[in-house]
Amino acid sequence: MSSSEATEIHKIRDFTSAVLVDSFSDTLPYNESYIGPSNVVSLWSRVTDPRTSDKNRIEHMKSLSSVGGIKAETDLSSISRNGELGMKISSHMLDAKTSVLRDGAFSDSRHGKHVWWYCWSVKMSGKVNDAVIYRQVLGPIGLISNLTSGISARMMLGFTRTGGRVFNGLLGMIAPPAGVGKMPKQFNTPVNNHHEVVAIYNEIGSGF
Amino acid sequence: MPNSYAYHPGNVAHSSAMEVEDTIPLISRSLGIDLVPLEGATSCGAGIIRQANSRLQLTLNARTFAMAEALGLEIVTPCAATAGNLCEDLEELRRNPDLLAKVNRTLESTCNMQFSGEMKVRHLMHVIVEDIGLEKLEEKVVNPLDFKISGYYGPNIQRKGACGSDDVFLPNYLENVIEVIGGTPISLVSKTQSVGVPSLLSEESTALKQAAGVLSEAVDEGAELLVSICNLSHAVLDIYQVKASRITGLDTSIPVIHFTDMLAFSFGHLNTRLAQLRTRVKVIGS
Repeated sequence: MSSSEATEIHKIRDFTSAVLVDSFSDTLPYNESYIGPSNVVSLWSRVTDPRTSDKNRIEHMKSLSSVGGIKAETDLSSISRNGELGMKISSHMLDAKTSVLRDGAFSDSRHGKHVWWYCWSVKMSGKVNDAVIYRQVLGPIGLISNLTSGISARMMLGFTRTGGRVFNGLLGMIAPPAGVGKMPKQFNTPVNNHHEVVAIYNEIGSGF
Repeated sequence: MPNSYAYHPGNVAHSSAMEVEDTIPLISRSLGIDLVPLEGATSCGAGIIRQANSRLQLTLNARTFAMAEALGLEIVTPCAATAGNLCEDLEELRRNPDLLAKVNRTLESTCNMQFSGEMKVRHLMHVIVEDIGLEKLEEKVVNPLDFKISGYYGPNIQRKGACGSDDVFLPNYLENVIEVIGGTPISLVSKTQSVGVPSLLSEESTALKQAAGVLSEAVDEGAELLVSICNLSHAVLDIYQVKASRITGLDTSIPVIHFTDMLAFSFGHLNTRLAQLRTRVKVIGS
């Protein structure tokens, strides 16, 4: 291994206080099973180290993709806002998450599906389509759960809180709850020059 | 003071945050600023596209930057998540000339665009406080919102380079605005804490505990109203608050409105909606 390569690998874990790094996360106090940013980054440095055996690399990736691993971090922006160190840690955590999601082909968990369908919906119109994401990520059982937990009701009754329109377009009249209150739109109009967005995806975002 | 800005509505203003789309034209008219819509701008990625392919999110956002640059305008958005993500990507492109060159090659071949990095991304609140000024804002107030109001910033724009001259960890721009429009600001410890939006559907339980933390703090501190400067966080704090209460057992019942709602009401627009809000605050609650 070249010295520059070794330096890059060791820089990943180049922080003096694991407690400080963990304190960047807004998720850690709310999730007991989450191993925290410092452990995630340490595991990731071992995964990227060519001296790590294949067997150990598989074990480390298993830990990273477990319930308490990188997927448990709900928002990397709470980490990246903490100066240079925060930026560096969140960047390595992002690499780890991308690797874990790609290993699962974006389909083995809600995390992967969420990311995949988000990217797909932006490719389709340039805008995010919440309705598609909810449907694809939560699935029928999740959507029924939203019905019983009051989520769908609060979406539909959004007009009672905002004073806005009851029906947002024709769909609300013919296929409610779509188009009612704050229910997300089923269909998006594409952004101007949408073909450019598709061209960018075709060049560097193939797979969506 | 610039009078025109390139307007990016954020990710959900066209969909589940229509109140933002309803109120933006009203407040821009009252403030005398021209918001030029970036009709071709895509979603900022919300930190989600980059989880699959960071270069893809950077290039999509560089395309948005190039559009604003061609207009010679700064980008302004009412969404903190969008402002934060765009600022983060802009900073990364400025810091890494090799990456910028690669992104420009893709932009050139796909969109016939080039991006130099000579533009700014700002949140509407920063434009109001720093460009327009609180004195001028005060002159525009027709209906003072005489409530105890807590402000929620979220983590996305509370980073160096994205929050103007406001403090990164102890911001007070929103409290200043609340005071000027007639409210009593109730500052929250958790005002810059994440509510887990990027993982709402995949780590719902944790995200709702985070949201409940913010909502219950506002309730406990005696706030009557919570104002969010982020479209996405606003949706979570509003739509999911009953479920957040059920999961945590905390009292999360408080009306949540968007920053643009608050301004439009105080400028004398949408009076029936303001009346409805007053009823919610005084009688109904969330």
